Amino acid sequence: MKNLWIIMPVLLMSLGTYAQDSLSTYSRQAAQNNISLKPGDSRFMLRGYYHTGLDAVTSEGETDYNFAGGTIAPILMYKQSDRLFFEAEFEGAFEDGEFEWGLEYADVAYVLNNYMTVRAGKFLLPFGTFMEKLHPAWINRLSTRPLGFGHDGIAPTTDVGVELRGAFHLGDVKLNYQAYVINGPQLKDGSEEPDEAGMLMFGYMADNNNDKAVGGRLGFFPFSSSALEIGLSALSGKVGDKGSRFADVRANLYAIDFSLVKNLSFMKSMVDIKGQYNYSQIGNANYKVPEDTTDLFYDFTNTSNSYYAQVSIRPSFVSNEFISNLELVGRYSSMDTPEGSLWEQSPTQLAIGLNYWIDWRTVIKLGYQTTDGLGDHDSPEPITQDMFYIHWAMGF
Amino acid sequence: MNLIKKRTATVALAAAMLVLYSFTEKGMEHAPVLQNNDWVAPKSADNLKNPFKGDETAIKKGKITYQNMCAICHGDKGKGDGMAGMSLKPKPSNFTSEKVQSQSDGALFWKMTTGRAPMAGYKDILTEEQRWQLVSYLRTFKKQ
Amino acid sequence: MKKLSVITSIILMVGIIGYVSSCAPSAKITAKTGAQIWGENCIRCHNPASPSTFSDVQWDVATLHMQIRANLTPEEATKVKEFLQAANN
Repeated sequence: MKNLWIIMPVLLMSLGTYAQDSLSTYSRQAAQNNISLKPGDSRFMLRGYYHTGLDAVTSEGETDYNFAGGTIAPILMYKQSDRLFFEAEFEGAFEDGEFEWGLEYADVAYVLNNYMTVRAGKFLLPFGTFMEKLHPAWINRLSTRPLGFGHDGIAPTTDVGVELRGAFHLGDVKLNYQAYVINGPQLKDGSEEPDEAGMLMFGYMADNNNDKAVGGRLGFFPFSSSALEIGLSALSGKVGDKGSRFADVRANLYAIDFSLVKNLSFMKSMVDIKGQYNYSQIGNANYKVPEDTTDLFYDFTNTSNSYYAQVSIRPSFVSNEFISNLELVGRYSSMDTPEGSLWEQSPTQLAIGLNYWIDWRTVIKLGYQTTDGLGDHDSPEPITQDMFYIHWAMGF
Repeated sequence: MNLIKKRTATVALAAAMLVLYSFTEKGMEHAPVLQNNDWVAPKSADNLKNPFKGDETAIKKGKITYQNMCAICHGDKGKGDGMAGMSLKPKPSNFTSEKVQSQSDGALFWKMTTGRAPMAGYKDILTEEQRWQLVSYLRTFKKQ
Repeated sequence: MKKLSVITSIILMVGIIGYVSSCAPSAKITAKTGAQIWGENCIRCHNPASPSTFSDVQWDVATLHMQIRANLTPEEATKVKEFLQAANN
């Protein structure tokens, strides 16, 4: 009997192997008979990305070291037919010591014909290319975003609405377009955060007025190889609260984006050049002077702009495998927010990085970034901030 | 008791055989999945004869197929430096190398026919004729 | 006013689509293989994935995802999918 107890686990294990083996035999036979395992019509896929690492930020002569927990971003994809598709990205991160989930996007898409796909829901706005296509940690060659994107940025991120998109060829040239109607950005009127009066908020689910914002992007591939793309984007809508004195304030946003990816065989390297220019023009409005009881108002010309240009080079085709996985990247970015506003700032930023690609979607990023210029409302003095980091990012 | 022992022993032996069997079968059937760098065509492939050996028209046709299907990974000049190949493991073969050029026409034909991930098999995509034309074209990459 | 501009842009869009569908892509474009489209387009944003990364069914989902995100035509995406499925075993 004792022996039986010893043998049982072995037996169970081998039965397990047997079951697995019979399954693989079945699938192999199925493959040979060319009938496959007949996957159903409900095809799910879980993808996503994550990054973590160590940051060393030096500001006013003091350096803070921090392990950065990064953001976990699972993406659920669901394909129901060749036309019907759903995807949603969740974003989990620690904020002030607590873990919080957010919804980055969730939208349903239907392929109407060869030239048109309709999408509805919350989607990444095709305003330039950085936010829609390049910001995920395993795609972005640096660990930070260029100035103008993200928190306190001037470029829109996501919104709720409906969008038509598609692509077509005219001879050798390829064009792609996106046109959308969304709830639109919202104006901060200063009643809650007086220092941010005149800024735009992006990504809110509920609209503050009935005026829907419209926008779109037109992308242009002049060469048949798709190596070069130039894009133009615009977004326009009223941004003030319904019924308030800001109700007629309109925002017009524009962007130009550029992308060139080329194999330089004489250098045995791939070179990737990316850039985007954002321009934001918001209608004039009078904002209340903070902490003033006499109803004093101020105004300013509410225009902002930002841009970045990035070059990365990877000697992918040298024979040494270690070197072929290295990538050198440099990025310059700049932002100007309105003079006379309480969030006036005009920083410039230089970021350089050395990346090591473990495989096509996993990368170790070593970087240095220095930001200079006039600070925001928190520090009206000129600021300099330096940052060293080592991050590990992966897409899955 | 003895009977139980005998039975369990038999069952255990049978189970062990199954485990071993599954290993051997897996070892045989899944060999190409092990992505080592040595990909050797079976001996029998060496006996296949290229009907277009050195045929100039075939080489021209093979070049067109090569530019459309192969260059993106193996490079315009066959050096294994096409841009799509940069993240592949193993890396795309360099056709100018001795390692490739020392293989028989039949072996090259067998490899492009069969494929091994991430290299596609072209059995159903290209005709036999097109694959032999490609073999003839690959020979032009041989260092002079 | 806004409604009018939305309606106008939709009419304009339909008009453009009508015009476009009467224009054909060049022979060079239609002759492009799945491998070429895969190599040229994926790399615009990220390193091209190895075909062995996913199963046939997973590629089926992933290529529709990228067809939408990267504005590939359905024809381009189908060619890419067929190539990846042919090269992943």
